[in-house]
Order: sequence, then structure tokens, then C-alpha cells
Amino acid sequence: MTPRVSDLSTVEVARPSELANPARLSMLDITKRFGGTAVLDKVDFEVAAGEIHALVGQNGAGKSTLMKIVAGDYTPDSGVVMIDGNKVEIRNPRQGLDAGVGIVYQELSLLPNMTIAENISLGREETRLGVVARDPARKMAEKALALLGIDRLDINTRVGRLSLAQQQIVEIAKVMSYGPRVLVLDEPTAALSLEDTRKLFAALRHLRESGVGIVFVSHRYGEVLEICDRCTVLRNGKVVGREAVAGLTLERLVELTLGELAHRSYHAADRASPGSTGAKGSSGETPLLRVDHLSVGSTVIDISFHVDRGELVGLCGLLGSGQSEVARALYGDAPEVQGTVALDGEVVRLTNPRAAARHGIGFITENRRDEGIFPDLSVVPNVTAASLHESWLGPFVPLLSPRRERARSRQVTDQVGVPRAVEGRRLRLLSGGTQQKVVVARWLAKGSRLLVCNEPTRGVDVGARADIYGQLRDLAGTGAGVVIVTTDIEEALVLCDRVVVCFAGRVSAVVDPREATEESLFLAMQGLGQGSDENGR
Amino acid sequence: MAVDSPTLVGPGAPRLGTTTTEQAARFGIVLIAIVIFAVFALTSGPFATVSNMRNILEQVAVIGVVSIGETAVMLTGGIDLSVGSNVLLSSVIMANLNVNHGWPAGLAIVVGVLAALLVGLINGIVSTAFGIEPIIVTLGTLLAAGGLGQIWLNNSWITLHSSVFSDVATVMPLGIPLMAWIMVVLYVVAAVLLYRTTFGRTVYLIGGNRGGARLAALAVNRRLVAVYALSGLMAGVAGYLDAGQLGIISQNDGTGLQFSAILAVLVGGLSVKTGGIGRVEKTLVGTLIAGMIANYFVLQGVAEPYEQAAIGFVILVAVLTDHVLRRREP
Amino acid sequence: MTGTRALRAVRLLERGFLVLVIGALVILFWRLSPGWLNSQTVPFIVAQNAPLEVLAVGMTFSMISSNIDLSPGSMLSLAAMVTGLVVESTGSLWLGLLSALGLTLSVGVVSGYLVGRLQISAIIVTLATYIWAAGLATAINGANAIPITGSMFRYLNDGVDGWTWTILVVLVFVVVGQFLLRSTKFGYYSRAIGRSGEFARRTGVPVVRYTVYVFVFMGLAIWLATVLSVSQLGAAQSSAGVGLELDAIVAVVIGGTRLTGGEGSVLRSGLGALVLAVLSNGLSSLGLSDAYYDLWEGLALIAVLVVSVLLQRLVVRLDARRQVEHKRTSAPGLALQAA
Repeated sequence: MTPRVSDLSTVEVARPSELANPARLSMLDITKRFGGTAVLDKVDFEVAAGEIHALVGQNGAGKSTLMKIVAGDYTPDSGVVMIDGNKVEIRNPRQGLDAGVGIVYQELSLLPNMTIAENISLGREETRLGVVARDPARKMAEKALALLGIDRLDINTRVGRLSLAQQQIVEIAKVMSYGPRVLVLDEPTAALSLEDTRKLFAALRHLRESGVGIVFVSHRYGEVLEICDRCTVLRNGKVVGREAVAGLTLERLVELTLGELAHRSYHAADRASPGSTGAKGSSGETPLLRVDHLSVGSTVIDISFHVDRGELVGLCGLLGSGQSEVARALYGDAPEVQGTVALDGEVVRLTNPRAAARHGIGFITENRRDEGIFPDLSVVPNVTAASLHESWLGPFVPLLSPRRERARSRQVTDQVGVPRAVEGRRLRLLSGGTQQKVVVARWLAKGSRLLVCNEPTRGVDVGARADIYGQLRDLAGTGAGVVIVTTDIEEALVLCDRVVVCFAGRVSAVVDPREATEESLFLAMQGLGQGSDENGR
Repeated sequence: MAVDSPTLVGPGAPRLGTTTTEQAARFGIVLIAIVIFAVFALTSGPFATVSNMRNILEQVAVIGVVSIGETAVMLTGGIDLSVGSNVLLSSVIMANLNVNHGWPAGLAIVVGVLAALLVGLINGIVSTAFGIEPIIVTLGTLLAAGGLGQIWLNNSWITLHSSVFSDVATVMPLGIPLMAWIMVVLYVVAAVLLYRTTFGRTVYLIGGNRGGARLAALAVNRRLVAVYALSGLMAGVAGYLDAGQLGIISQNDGTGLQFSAILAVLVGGLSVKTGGIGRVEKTLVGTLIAGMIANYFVLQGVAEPYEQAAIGFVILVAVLTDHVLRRREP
Repeated sequence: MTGTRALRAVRLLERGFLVLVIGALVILFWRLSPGWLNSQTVPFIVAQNAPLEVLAVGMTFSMISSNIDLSPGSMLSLAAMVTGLVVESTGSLWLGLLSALGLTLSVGVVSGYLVGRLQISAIIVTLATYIWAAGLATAINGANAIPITGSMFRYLNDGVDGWTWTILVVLVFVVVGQFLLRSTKFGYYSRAIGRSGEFARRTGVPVVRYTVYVFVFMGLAIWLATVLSVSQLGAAQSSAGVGLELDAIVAVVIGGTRLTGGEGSVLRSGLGALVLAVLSNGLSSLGLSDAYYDLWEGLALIAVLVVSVLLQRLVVRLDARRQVEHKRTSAPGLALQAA
């Protein structure tokens, strides 16, 4: 149970040998449906004490749903969850913690203006006559850090002063201080460098000794093979593999992850829109976009690629590989950018979004809630937001014409597939897919010569997804260039003319979807590229 | 009251549900105004007379004009505390130049208004360039501008003689004081500005999602500076109206004006926390309600402090009502 | 590495900034008006501005928890008038002060609830209080003061060479305030709430309860300020607190606390109040009116903010440069060798 105030100093993980059933976490026969689809279908997932167990699978395979059930955000339609052999019902995150499940999210919940010790014991401080007792907090923090093998970190340092890796370790320590039996780590290495990852792994190995069952959710197969003991692979909501890592090869893992699609290739015939295929780039003309040795902060080290007119180029990679930052840099929204960007042969400086827009670059954000939609405005103003001056009454009359606005909006929303019926509703009330279509419509209305899309179909239903793909292809068909940042292999292969794979801040491969298989693209994303940096032409 | 969008009427108007709470939120404030009017008219003889209506309009003109700027600022999610001092400063400058230095009234007025505009610009520039919360920056200008105005007034007062000033109160086209006309015209202009220009639309976009506005390639910082400048400009105009109405500039001019403006905006239905929602004509209704209440208290012989106390409670009620209504929305 | 040294220098500048400013002001006024500075000046300044200093303590907690409070000035006036009223009708000073305490604390509870539980913006709630409390305060006795005397008051204003008990009360309150901020759950949670109410809630901090505590604490500070104010004036005046809330906010901001961030220091707010106190006293010794004080106060506020932002940006830039170099020198993420 959660250590109460009185036992702040006892941070212990219960020894499993005392218990009959050695599995820390047992999820049996879990099924979860959304609408008509089974997102999880009779999934069994077990984590033993003292093991680091990887949970892998593509986006949409069911990993996050499974973990949300463990966290208490979802309840399974059927199936049972057991901790140390005891059946538990977790309805909210608080209950989860009480039941012995600790989750470390990518988004850290630390307060930078407070010290490590203060952060770890936040909400559970012990007081003597009203004064917060520093000793118990110190002991708790030190004990929790000791579980991770860390003994040289000064617990009186303010968290804001720590490096990202250190902060992550503190976050893990904080969760561990609640004495969970199961610890879930969600993509813990996404933002870490090699050195930091090594430090984290050392800490995890130490943690393993204490007997806690660790779930390691990740896309990075190299790391999975290095740190994990066992591995469960999900595909389309089902468990397709449960293997010990020792003796497991990357090929086998890829095979399990992708299934029979591993060797599927996307010949020209499979892909729609004939306009997107065809020999481009061989005409020798200046490319629409040329990126040379781009570096962004500490995430992007050296990336070069080009986009021809009418081309759909995918920037693909695991989370944290740099593709997202490249997209931001192309829109003037990234700090510390070095390298050159040239549009139609002319070098441009993209210092902020307005500069980028002036050069005809458009940007669809991956974070539509915080940066994309205007939730309290209806569809029309959302669509015309980036091209207001075109809704003027006349060329020199700076007054908005409601009729023109609506006409312009309808022109693109009809195209994109936003029903007229919802035109007047506030965006807040519309579905994710419709919202995203509105955002796409906005940039279509603006008319860009290069559209940069960051995860354009994230959180979007299948129908809307197809519509958006169609729109992007049509856009390319008009001669514009499209850059699509995505972590979805299928999307990259189906939609793009060429895929630039990013790994650890560099280009690890340039893939031709007509010749590639999902497997080859997948491996490239894991860092095993066939070719290295893309050469100019 | 959170259901407004700039395209409330006409194309693309949000077709919201027809639940009673939503209708109440949208038109509620007008109904409340009508109810208040009715109650006051019935309980006080002199209330519903033409001359009293004229009085009310004259009394609310200054606050009404200032509230226009405050509405625009609050739409972007900010707040402007400096308007009271700005009104004082601009009227002091006008009066000083005209009476003590013999400048022609028209020119003096223009300079005064420009000075207020400048203060607004400072508000905008400092808050955007240095990322300081507008409430704190405008607090600083409230103090500084107020201090400056009082220094120039030198602990005395200035009496105005020029008819250019007094005309706003004495000239009455169609029986309504000129200043009330000016206020109404400014509201109309503001409405056009907010609902029919790129600038106005950008204000709503910034208030609705500042990050989104930036990514939509809008000149966010520049518009914010413009909005605060607008608020300053309105304060300047209000300074002129105030000077004309009173005929005399004294130390207490404009004191607390910013709070009356914020009050009018709140009663009219805006929210302080989230920008991007609200309509300027509702601020006008809010101003009128405040004016009616103040007037009523005077007619009933209620001492001013009690009236002030009542207004404070009214804010609380308005806010609580807004909160309750907001809860029930989809 | 010059980066770290420059970083340290800038940080040092930030910390010592206030003391430098106070020192500079003192020297400035002394040069402008030599007779101004004598052995009694310092205690006099501190004692004269006691209400402001006390309010600054309360306001520190408010701003740290990201709740701005516009009510203290009016509440002080109202509390004073209530005290006067009760003293007038019952003759007991203690009863009067007790009523005032009851008033400020209960208003604190209600405000805290509205802000914490109903999530109404603090600006609106405290603005409403600002308006109605000022109104009521004037309504009680118009512009006339109600004289209040009592042995306790004489005691407070007694002292040696200008060092009165009032000053001690202020110092103790400031120290207690700082202690509360640094070493109690109240302080911890105020900071947590100010930084991110969401994270605080996730970690099990009772946000509503502690928001109420913040406002109640301000109520306590208001009461204490009322006591000191009334004792100095010897009377209850409805104009007693006018403008004090703005001064308190300025003092806290000059002291380095920002509205967002959950960071701050009561001690520095005290110093900020001292800056304003010296400014006010110095200007009046030069024969300049209150208006000059307002002007310089406003300018000082903006100047301090701008400088602090510039310093902060400098720190961030120096810091970031260090971190980028650190990450670049380590090789990119794990790469596998093909089997």
C-alpha cells in the first residue's frame, strides 16, 4: 500500500518469495473495445518480479491502451488484472498507485523550483509541530534513489538545475517511493542521449534487484534487446509473441511486429494517385526545397534532404530522432538552427513562422489542441485564420466580407470532407478527425508552395485519414511540395514518394517506397540504414 | 456567456444548441438589463424620465469609451489597469496646454489623446518585448502616469472655458448629449473593427489560442501592442469627454476608472481567465447596467459608498452566475 | 569555462540587487537633502510603513501561489472602521480588534473558496472585494475618523530612539513569514500550487484547502496591518488603506516574486517594501508630493522588471550554451550492428 506519513522512511518493495504467485503483474484475457473495434483482444500480459519486460508493437497495436488500463484511465471490457496474485480493480490513477502500480510518463511531473527531496515527498510531508521535517524526506529520497543505484546526487539540488536524464531518474525515484510492485516506463529514452541512456539503464538494472516488475514500453528495439529480460509483442490488439530476450534477434522482433506485412512492398500499382509517382528529381531542375546540414539544438545533428516540386517526402523516425524538430525548423519555430535551407534555389532565413509563411511555407502542427485549433470559434474563422487578407471585400478594402469568407471556407471544407452541417459549431465540439481536417483546410486555403505536416493523422479516425491523404496528394499534384513527418510506417510508405529516415539526429537512410518493405523501413528507423546521408542529387 | 463568437450573426454563425442555459447565456445580459430597467422604473418615479435617461447616458459615456479598449485587451487574454491614470494624464495635458499655455483647444485635445496613446504603446511594448504579465506592466503605468498627471496638476485644479470641451455635454443632437453619441459611434466603429477587420479577427484568434495564432503566421506581438495602444487611445478620448463633462480637471479624475471598466466588461459577459470569447456590444450593455444602478442609487438617496458596496456584490453575483452557466454548457 | 563564471556573476548580481538599490537610494537622498539622514531615520521609515511591510508578507504568498489579491487596501480600511465602530459602541479595544480579525479571516475563507474550489479568477474575486469593502468602509462613518486609543497602542509606538515595538512586530512577522514559506507544508504547497495546480493535484496536494489558507493568511496579515495602522494614526479612517494593495504588489514584484513560477521570498518582499519606504520618505523629505512617489514607484517597478528579465535571459543563454555543448560531445543514441 502507499506508504503513509508514518512510514516515510520505509521504502520497500515487498519480496515476492513470500507470495504464492511470483508474477508481479498479471493481466489475463483483457479485451477492450472502442466502438466496434477490439483495440485489445484477449490479451495476456505478465511481468515477473525482478524482471524488465518490454512491451512493443506499432502505433495502434494496443500498447498504450493496455497501459492505460493498468494506470486506471480505462477499464477493460473483460479480463482480469492481478497484482501479486491479488485481483485489483483500478478505476483511477490514485487507485492504481494504492494497488501497487507506478507509472512514469514522458511528461515529468516534477516542480523545478523545489529540491529533489521536496519533490519526492511532495504531498506526503511529515511535520513536527507544523514544521516540515527534513530528515524523513531526506531519508525517503535517498532510499528511493538508492533503489536506482544513485548515491551521489545531492537531494538538496533544485530539480530545475538537473539535466533531463537526472530529472527522469528523480521522477522514477519519486514513483518508486510509493513502493509499487509494478513500474511502467513509457518511452523513457525518447529524449536521451547515448550516455544518458546508459546511465538510465544502469539505474534500471539496480532497480531490478529490488524485485519490482518493470514494464518497458518502447519503440527502440536496440535498447529493448540490450536492457530487457523478456518481451511481449502486440499486433492489432493481440499478443503475437512472448519471448525471452536472450536469443532473440532483431529480425525475429521485426517479423513479429509487422507480421506478414513485413515483406509487403508498395509497388507503383498499389499506390493511388498516379500523379505522385513518375520520375521526379531526375530532370535536373532546382528542387523546391533543399536542406543542407541542418542542425537544431541538441536533437538534430546533421540532416540534409531535398524536396522536388510535386513531391511528397516523408521524414520518418522514432520519437526523438529529430524529424519533428526539422519540421519545426522549416517553419521558423525552432531554436538554435544551423545549416542552410533553400527554396527554389534561394537561401532563406526562417526566423519565425511569419517569415516562413512569407516564403510560402505552411505548417500543420502535431499538437492541434494547443497550437492548432481555435476551440471557441466555428469552422469558418478557423479555416480562414491564416489567409485573412484574402477574405477582404476588395483588394484594397481591409474589411472582411462574411460572404467571401464563407465561400472560401466552403471551397476547401467541401474538398477536405468537412460536412456543411457542422460549419457553425465551435471546433471544441467536433471530433479529432474533423478538427484535423479543418486545420488541413486552413493551409489549403492559404495556398502554400511547401506544406510541412507534423504527424497529420495523429488521433484521427480511418475515414478522415483517407480524406487527408487524398488532400495531400492533390496538393502535391498541383506542384506544391509536401513534407510529412510521421512515425507510422504504413503511412510513410503509402503516401510518400520518398522517405527520409532519421535516427539520432542524422539521416540513416533514404527509402524508395516502391522498392522498400515495411521491414526495411522499420530497420532503418532503428538505426540500421542501407544508405547514409542523402547526397544532393 | 461563453458562447459568443465573432461570427455570431450571419454566415458561419455558430448554431449552438437551443438549451435554455445557452440561450440564457447569449441573450441573458440584455434580458437582465431590461428587467433591471423595469424594476427601477416601477420603484422610482424620476427614473424613467427622458431627462434622467439623458443623465445616465452622460454619466456612462466616459466609462463606456474606456471599456471599449478594455474589452479589446481582455479579449486577448490580458488586462489593462492603467486606464484610470491615462484618462487623468490626457485630460491634464489637454487642459494644461489649452488653459495655461494658450494652445487652441483642438490641438491640445489631440496632443492629450496622443499622450494616452503613447502610454498604451508602452504597455504593449514592455509586456510583449519582455514577456511580463500585462497586469503588472499596466500597474506600473497606472502609478507612473497617474503620478505624472498629478504632478502637472500641481495640487490644484484647472478650469476649462473653451466650448470645444463643454460642447460634449451641452450640445444635444436629438436631445442626447454629444458625448453619448460619441460613445455610441465609437462602439459601432469598435464592432466593425473587431468583427470585420483582419485586426479584430486576429484579436479573437490570439485570445482563443495564442500558440495557434502564432503558428497561423499572425503577427501576434504586433497586434498585442496595437491592442494596448487602442486601449490607451480610448482612454485619451475618454479624457476629453471627462474634461468636457466636468469642466474642471482635478486630482481625483479617473480614479478607479479601470475597475469600473473591468466591471462593465465582466458584467457584459467576458471572462478574465480565457480570452477569445465575448462581444463588445455586451460591454455596452454592461456599462448601461452599471450606469442604471449608480443612477438609481442616487435617485433613491442611497449614499455613494453603499452604492459602491452594492456594485462589488453585483460583480460577485455576476461572476457566480457566469460560472454556474458555464458549468452547464456542453 | 567563462560560461559558468559569467553565470555565477550574473546570479550574484540578481541576489544582491535589492540591497544595492536600497543603498543607492539612501545615498541619493542623503546627497540631495543632507539633514535627512540621522539616527532616527531608519527606524522611522520602517515604523511608518509598517502596514505595507506586513501586507507584503501576505501578498508574497498570494503571488507565489499565482493568485493576485487586490483587496488588502480596502479590507484594511474596512477592518479599521469596524474596529472603530465596535470600540465606539462597546468601549472595548479588544472586542474591536477581535471583530476586525473575524472580518478579515472570514472574507479570506470565502475568497479562498471562490478561487480554489469554484475556480473563479482571483482578480475578479478580489476586485469585487476591493470595491465593496471600500464602499462599506466609507459608509460606516463617511470621511470622518473615529478616534481610537488604548494602552496597547501607546505601547506599540513606544520605543528607544525611534525603535518602537511596531518595528519588532514587523520584523517578527517577516521572519515568521519566511519560515512558513521555506519550512512548512503551507509554504511548500503554496509554491507547488503556484507552479502548476495540475501537477500539485496529481501529486496529492490538497489544492483547494491550501488556496483557502493562502487567502486566510492574507486576512491575518491585513488584520495585523490594521492594528499597526490604527495604532499609529490613533484613529480609524476610511482612507487608511487606499492604494496599499498596489504598493504591496509592487513591493513583492520588486522583491523578485513573479506572478507565475511558484518562487519567491518573504525576506526579499520585505526588502522590496523597504525600497518603497525609503523612496516615499526620501521624496517627501525633499518636499515632493505623493504624486512623485507614484511616478517613481511606477517607473521603479517597470525598471526592476525589465532588468530582471534581461538578467534572466542572459542566464538562460549562458546555461543553454553549456548544455548543448555537453550533449554534442556525447555520441548519438544507440546504434546496432547488423547481425
